[in-house]
Amino acid sequence: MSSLVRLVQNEQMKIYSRFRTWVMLAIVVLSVISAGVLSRFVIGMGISHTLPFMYLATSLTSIVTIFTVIIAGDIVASEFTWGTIKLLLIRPASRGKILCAKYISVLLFILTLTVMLLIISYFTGLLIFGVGGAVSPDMSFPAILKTYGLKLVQIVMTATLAFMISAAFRSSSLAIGLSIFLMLSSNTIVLVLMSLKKTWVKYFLFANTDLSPYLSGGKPLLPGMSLGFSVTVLVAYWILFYAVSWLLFTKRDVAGN
Amino acid sequence: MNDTAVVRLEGLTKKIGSKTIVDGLSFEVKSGEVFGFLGPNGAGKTTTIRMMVGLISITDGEVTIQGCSVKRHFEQAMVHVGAIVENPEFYGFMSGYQNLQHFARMMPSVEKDRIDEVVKLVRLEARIHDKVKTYSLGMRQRLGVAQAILHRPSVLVLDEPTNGLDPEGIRELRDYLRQLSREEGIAVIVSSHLLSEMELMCDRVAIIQNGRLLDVRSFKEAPAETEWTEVCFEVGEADRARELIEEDALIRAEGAELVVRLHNRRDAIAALNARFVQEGIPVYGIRAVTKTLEDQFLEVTRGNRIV
Repeated sequence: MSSLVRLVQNEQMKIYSRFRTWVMLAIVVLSVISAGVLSRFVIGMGISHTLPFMYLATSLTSIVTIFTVIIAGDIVASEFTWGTIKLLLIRPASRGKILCAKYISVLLFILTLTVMLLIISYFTGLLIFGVGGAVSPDMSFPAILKTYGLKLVQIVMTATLAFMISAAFRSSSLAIGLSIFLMLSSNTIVLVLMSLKKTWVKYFLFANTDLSPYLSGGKPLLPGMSLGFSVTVLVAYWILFYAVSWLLFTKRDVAGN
Repeated sequence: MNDTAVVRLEGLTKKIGSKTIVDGLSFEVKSGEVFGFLGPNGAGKTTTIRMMVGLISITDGEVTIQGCSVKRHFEQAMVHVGAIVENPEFYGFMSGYQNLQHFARMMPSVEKDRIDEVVKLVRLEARIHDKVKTYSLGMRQRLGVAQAILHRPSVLVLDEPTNGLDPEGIRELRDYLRQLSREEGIAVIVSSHLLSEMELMCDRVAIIQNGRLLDVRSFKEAPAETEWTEVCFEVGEADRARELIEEDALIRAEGAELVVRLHNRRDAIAALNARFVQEGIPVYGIRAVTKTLEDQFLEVTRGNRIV
């Protein structure tokens, strides 16, 4: 009965009423500016156009990943820790819809942070480096957008993982901690398993989140992996994560404190 | 006030594993009535209330609110329900007003005017734009009432509403619930283990123990309608006095106090008193023993207790 749009509006209000969200936004802005200042005045990288700087700034998406994991890992679990879940679930809105509104809010937050990163890096670059020099074609604006697109795949998958842990264990710290741990250690884990010649490594989530080798004509991580394979694995993981979140959120009793 | 049942429980059952927590509860609550839900800790009060508002799944049986099944038509049923489950918890980082706005968005047709009206009703105008984390417990309780009545529900469900409130807060809440049930015809369902509190608040109480309904009592019945009355005599010579009382009339003797069951007539008391005086037994005091809810509660639950 209550429309999904209004539920999303509620989740947005809850995200942006918190002080920490504004700290996160400020950190993103400040890190772009300081990256610009550092590469111009301290390191002196010889950048002479805003586009190469924007390309450089795409690596700052890892900050976006960490912040969205915090939001995604907290969005369901915090309702349980605050006890507000008892007021939230007794409304004329099904649990499935409430969960969906929360997930959409996480996606919106990811979008907000990445678009912000893109715009701030453009203007920072413009102010510090101008648009004087030549730009190599692999740092063109479409190439930058492509990089953002590929990064978004990683961010969305990691955030969905955190979202699932949040809904399953109703604990923000576990959701945030475990997701960030997996994100940071996944490369090592994949490498170790690869060196042990385990063929099933290719089914591991974080072996598939980086789609760039396929698009830039590089070598895939393991033989037998292709763009189609990785996309299929990612879609399968996404469905699994959302289905588990949905099942545990809609079916489990809210008892005790 | 009309007599239609707003809430109907039919054979409501909750099982977790092999353990039955609520066992076949059935009763009805009418509009304009304050209905108490009484039982010792662990009797299944909270579980039942949580099943009524959809926080806990129903194993068997049915809860219908205004004819809508909570199990099958949850969203339609919840339109009619306002609830506070335990202490009302709010988003502390938002203002009271934002919290109300948040819950208003989740319900059909709650306009801005209604939010203002409710804020005025619970007398929070002065602090409504302050963050909830700065509120006292009493203020949170008032905000809890505000969010529960925001959408003009026909049923108000409160689980242990007086927990942690000071006497003034309890009194305020009690008057408030009375007013809502009388003036707006809202059916109020309250759970508590505080007997004296329930006695003051409710029209009827259901007593439950070990998940089963033991009895439903009404406080509206005049106590004089019963045929027998219990009278306590405080006498000087208890042993001699006992001989003067018919065997089956004596309920209990505690030292100098004899509790006697008499016909509910004033002259029966006078007659017994006269007999004592005649025999030279000093009578120091005579008083009627009225049964409090506590006595009734213990009477009903005693014997069924599992220690």
